[in-house]
Amino acid sequence: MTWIYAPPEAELGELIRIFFQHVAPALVGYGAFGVTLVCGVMYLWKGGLHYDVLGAAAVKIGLFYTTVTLLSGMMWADAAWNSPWNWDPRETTTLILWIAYACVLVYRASVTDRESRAQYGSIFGIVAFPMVILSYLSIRIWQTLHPIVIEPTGLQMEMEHGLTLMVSMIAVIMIAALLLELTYRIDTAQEKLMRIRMSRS
Amino acid sequence: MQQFELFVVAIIFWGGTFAFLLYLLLRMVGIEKQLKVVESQAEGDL
Repeated sequence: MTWIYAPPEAELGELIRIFFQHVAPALVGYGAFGVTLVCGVMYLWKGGLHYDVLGAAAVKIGLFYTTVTLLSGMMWADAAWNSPWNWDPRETTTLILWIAYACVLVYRASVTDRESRAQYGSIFGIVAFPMVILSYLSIRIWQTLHPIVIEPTGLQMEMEHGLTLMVSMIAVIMIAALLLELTYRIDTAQEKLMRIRMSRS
Repeated sequence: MQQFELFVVAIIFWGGTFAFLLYLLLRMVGIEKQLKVVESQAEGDL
């Protein structure tokens, strides 16, 4: 649909096709960080390492989609605004968001104690979440090059483009769910492997 | 020029997705192999 169904836009022309591969990963990335937030709260509230493993898996998925968002955004900005990086509030807050969650992963990789990794990893996952809200609201708080497309009244675009965005969203959510499920299973197996090795040594 | 940008974005999106998927599958195969070895060693210890 992105390549065939969606018609060229009056101002952007064919570049509108980048929009679907830019906005859908961005929103799915925000959603993945939301999963990390919920898992962090659940771990601190109920305990249970599976919450921690799922939260960490969601950080990886969120980082992957935020990376796709930043790179596709740079390609779009280069074509539309003649510069790949403009220090626009949305770009800057998304970059800070990426760095914040990358720090969560680096922290988790650097701590060997399972309990403190889960505890502080959950706390960092919760503390980093306001950056998601700030990144989402940045185009409403500051003056920015980014257009406001998603309004409370609906999508500010042509019907065909709105429909294509919806289908892109569903597709990216399904791919992200598959990647999250696989990452969770692998990380759970890795935990089991570490536990067996530690009990033997 | 626009075609080039569209092509690069498609590579970023789909290339990234398939590379991530391949990485996960390879990791899964590696960990399952290691788990089998460690579990069979643990059974041998008993």
